[in-house]
Amino acid sequence: MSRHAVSWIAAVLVAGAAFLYGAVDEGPPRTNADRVRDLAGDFACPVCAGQSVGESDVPVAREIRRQIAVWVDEGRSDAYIRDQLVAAYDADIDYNPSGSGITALVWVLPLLAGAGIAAVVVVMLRPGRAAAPDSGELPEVGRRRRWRNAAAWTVAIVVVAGAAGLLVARSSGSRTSGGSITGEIRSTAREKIFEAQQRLSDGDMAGAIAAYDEALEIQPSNVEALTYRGWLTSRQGDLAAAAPYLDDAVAVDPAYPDARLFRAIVALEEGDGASAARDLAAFDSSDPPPYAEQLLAQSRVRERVAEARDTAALEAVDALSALDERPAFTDTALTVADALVASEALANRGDLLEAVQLLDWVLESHPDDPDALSGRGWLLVRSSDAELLAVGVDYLDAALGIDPSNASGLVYRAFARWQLGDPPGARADLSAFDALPHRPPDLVRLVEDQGLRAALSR
Amino acid sequence: MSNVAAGSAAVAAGLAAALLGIAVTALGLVGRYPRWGHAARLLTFIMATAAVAGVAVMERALITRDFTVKFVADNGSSTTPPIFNVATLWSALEGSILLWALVLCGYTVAVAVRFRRRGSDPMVAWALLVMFMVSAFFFALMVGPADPFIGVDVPAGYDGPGPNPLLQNHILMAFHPPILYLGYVGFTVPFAFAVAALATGRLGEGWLASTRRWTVAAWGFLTFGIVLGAWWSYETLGWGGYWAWDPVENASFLPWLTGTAYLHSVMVQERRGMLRVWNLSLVIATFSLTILGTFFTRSGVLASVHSFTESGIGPAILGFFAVIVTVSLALIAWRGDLLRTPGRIAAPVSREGAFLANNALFAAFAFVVLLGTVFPLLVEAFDGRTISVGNPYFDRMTRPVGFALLFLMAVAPMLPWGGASRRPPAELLGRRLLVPVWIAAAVLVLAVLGGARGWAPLLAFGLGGFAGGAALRQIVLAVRRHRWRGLVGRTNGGMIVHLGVVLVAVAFAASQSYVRQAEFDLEAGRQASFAGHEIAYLGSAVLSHDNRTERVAFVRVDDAKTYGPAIATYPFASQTIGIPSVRSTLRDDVALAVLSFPDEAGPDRVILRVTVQPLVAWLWLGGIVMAAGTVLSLLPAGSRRRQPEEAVATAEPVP
Amino acid sequence: MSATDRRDPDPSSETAHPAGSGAGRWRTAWIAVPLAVAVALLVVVLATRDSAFERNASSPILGGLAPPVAGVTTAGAPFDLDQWRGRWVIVNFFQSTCVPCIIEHPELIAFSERHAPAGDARVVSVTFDDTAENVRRFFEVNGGDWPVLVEGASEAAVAYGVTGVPESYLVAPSGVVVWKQLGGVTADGIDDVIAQLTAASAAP
Repeated sequence: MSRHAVSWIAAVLVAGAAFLYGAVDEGPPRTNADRVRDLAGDFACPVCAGQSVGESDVPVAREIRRQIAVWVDEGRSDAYIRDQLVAAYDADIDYNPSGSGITALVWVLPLLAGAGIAAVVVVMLRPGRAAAPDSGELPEVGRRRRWRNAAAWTVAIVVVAGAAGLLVARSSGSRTSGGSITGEIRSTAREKIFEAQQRLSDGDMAGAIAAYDEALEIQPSNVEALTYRGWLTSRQGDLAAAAPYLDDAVAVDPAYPDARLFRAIVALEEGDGASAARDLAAFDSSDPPPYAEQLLAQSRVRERVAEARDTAALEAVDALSALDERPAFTDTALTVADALVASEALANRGDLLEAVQLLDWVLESHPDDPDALSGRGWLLVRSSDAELLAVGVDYLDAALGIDPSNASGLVYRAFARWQLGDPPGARADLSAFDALPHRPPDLVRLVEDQGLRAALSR
Repeated sequence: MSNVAAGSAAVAAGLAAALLGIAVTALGLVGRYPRWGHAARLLTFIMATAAVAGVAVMERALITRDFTVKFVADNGSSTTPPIFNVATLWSALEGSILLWALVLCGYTVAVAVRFRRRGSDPMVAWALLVMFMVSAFFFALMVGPADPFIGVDVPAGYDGPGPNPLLQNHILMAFHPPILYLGYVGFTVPFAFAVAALATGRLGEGWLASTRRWTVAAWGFLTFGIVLGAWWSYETLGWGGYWAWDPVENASFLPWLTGTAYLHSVMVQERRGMLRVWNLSLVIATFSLTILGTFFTRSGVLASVHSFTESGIGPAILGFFAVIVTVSLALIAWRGDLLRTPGRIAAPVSREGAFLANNALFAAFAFVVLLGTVFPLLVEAFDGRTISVGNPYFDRMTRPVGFALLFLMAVAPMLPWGGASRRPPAELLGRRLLVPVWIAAAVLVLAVLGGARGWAPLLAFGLGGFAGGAALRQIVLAVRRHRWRGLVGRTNGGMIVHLGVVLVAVAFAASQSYVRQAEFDLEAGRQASFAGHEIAYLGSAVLSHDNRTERVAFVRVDDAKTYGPAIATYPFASQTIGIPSVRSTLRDDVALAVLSFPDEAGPDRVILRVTVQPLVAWLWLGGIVMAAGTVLSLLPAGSRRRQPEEAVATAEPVP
Repeated sequence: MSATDRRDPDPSSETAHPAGSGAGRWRTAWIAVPLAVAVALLVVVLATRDSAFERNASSPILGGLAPPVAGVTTAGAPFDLDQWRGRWVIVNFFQSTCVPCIIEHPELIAFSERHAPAGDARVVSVTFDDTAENVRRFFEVNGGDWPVLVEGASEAAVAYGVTGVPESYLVAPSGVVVWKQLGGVTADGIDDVIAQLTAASAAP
């Protein structure tokens, strides 16, 4: 072996060993900051002309850098970060064109062009190119054969280079490909809920239920999913199956108005007016959105709760009056509130006398109860008889004497004073009522329905 | 005489001279005017005088802050420092066209003077005709849509906004554009002669010989202009980046690629008479691409930091581009039969074979860059979607081409021309490449010992060592043989340019692969340690300049010098402008950029971005070496008897 | 200057090579014509492009589920946009130093107050590249009693694709982003959009 050959082998061995060691050995670990810089350089600043997020110093570039840093610290993949940014800013934020669709051409065309150029060079360098036409063949046959050869070669080159280009496009798009490939969980519970809503608006109830179930798989304590899963089940007629979902929803977030509303409706359908009343009260104190109020009005929940309450109270009272000897009020299971509801219902039914007797019976046991007193007064006031009106005012005065901030007393006396031709007095009571920290909604409605405020302001 | 009137008159005179020049040379060509040469030469002088006058008037207006000139009112300012006041000429569109016209007129005069003895030669007449036409186009732009001398009434006490702050905070801005233009516009000369060759049908090697030095000079200016541009972005943008594959950067790089390909392939035609169409195409492509680049920069079609503000001259330039390409292609098609190559390549493994491969690689490189640059526009036109093509694409697609080019750079200079040597090429290569291989091995070992990891940068270092070793070997042999004359002439100068390219390639690979960056939140008196450097924040101060207010952070690097990166506020700019500061050594650069001073009221704190990049200085060094090599290659070769490359081809290898 | 440069080339010698047959011309034309077509295509594409400065980016999040807006407000309270499902919500991105944001602010106050009684529309502000202290001061000076997100603000801004301030998004009661405004909003402007969208959804 010549000295040259030995020297060559030695040089190649040294170079190869150094190269292999350097290529295989892991360098110092890359920090998150390094990764942030690399990523920032791969995305276009959305408002800058031709500068990357890394280069630019405008606020949006700073915000995106900050967010990329957060994602990198969270250990997100490049694909995830890319997907997030593209979802928000559109595909042109990504400096790496995607390897699919028409954009794949940007990867494929250079390989085709490269192959074409290489083919031309190879043809030019082919030894004996100039001698070819001098072969013994007939010119006609030779030309045809050369055409065929050229065509075959062209097709082969195009196919091979095109395939290679597609591979490059695919691999270059690896960062750009969808998150499903890298195994990131893309759907969140919110997205599933959104999907369910859309299915629902398309009338696909089964699909919506399935989507809510998926949302609950991702996040079992999702209040919205629990609530609507239960609600939809109840709309399909399965009240028993619906109840646990709604109960869970209320347990997770007692202030979620939708859950309260739906549970009230379900309870009403099951004939449980008391539970419905409790949920309705919680609903009223939960800052419900307008659509929930609309649904409430549409399904007449308030009215049905009131009816159920009336019915229950009347039944209780009727059961008592069926007894030969009425026991003392305190010996019964009734509360003052029940008695007031029943008296109201009796009065509405036209049995004013019975209503009055009922409250008198209550007052025998609770002579100082302001609610009972004001209820008793109200029965007289609403009779519109001038004499009874005066007596009614006495009851109301008594009630307010015991508790000056008794809400029902104030409202009833305002009505009474108005009917008695004392608008200033009525106005005083009403403004005292308005000043109360907690105003029962049914009294507010009474004032509005009867147009008292409007009448007084005239 | 007001500046507006004087300037407009100068521009009009220039246009008139160019049009007259077209008429005179055309008459000369049809034989109606035998003494056309004198008249044409005179007209080039008049045209150039007009351009000089135009520039002088504009500079006078800028220096005296004559705000009755709209260009000055829009771009000048009483507070701009003097040097940037001069440079304001090329910081906005109209002035840049004026500068372009000045450079073009300079080249036209030079051609007219250089070829004055060939007054009867239709080739020269055609070339001058083309140059007059191009000049007329640029003067027409200034008469029409890009008029730099529009008068405007400004209220008393008016002061202009000054140029874009980024364009007035670094001295390189004063040099980068004019040098780049010298390169861009210089390619008009070979283009003019290429068209002349096509028109006259004298498609041999005559026009190549006539324009060789012109092309090399233009290429040198373009190269140095691009390097200066990269240097400028590195120094002013504060991100540690110097090349971002921005559309306008690509627009300057495309003619460089085709021009470089031409400089190599031209040797094949000189030697073998081959590649006539190819060389013509490369010259035409290079010139067309400079015009296309001008369109990108000035039409606002592609978003780029370097873009001028939008203007109405886009369609005019695009139309000019279309005319150039159409006419050139038509001429080539018309001369198709004369362009058949008489020669052929004798052996695939030969100097000409290597040049052919080199050209294939440069063509592929240019295709990738052009496609990547215009692809978003194509997609938008055909698909309606907007996409971006940037860094990741260009890096991935151009890297293999770069490796292949480095490899060829090592091998090609060692290969004999086909048939020049009786020994088989493998044996020759075995002898001649031994030293470069050992140098490559040494570079690799040093790099790995120095901590370099990863296959891509190591491959770049290895191939860089290989190519650099080959260039060094040639230079050493030439110097041994010819003393100092071994450094001059096309081949030897070319080897020095190769050394510069290797420096740039190695610096590019190292700085891109091993960049480290971090942000630090430092209170005054605190210091941080990063990537082997100690960064200490000493405190800050507010400095008031005429045109800006700066808050400077004093930062000491490695217990040595103190640097002053700053944030500047310009009265007319909405954003603050960072002024980075770089500590540069041959080993690595520490770039400091202030992101913000977060606490206005509290203790003196700074958010400092520190970028540590190895070998960045080699980029600028490489640029200087390339420029030097270009100058050397323009000097006449010492020995007329033999080109040193042939001498090398028969020399015994160094043991 | 070398001899080759100075030489006056003899025209006859340059054309002395054997002139090719017509085939040469055809072959050149074969290459020239497709090239010309490609260049013509490029020119047409370039000539028909709008300026990059005018191309307005449409937002990909319009018409989809509103990205999460969740975090902690200046008041230190947790906030989640989902809790306001069922109402129209204006998600307003702002910066305390931005002048258009200050100009816009009274409109947001008007909008918020107009809808406070019915509770059918609300406003949430999200800070953009700003500090909590600046934001607190901004609301002290300019008024406004709605939640202002400081923690989680970057995430929300990037998720909505905010490019500058002020920028506002209208989220429908269904949770879909239905409208985007670059720059300042007006109370009437938002109400017009809401009215149009309500009418459109009621129509079919």
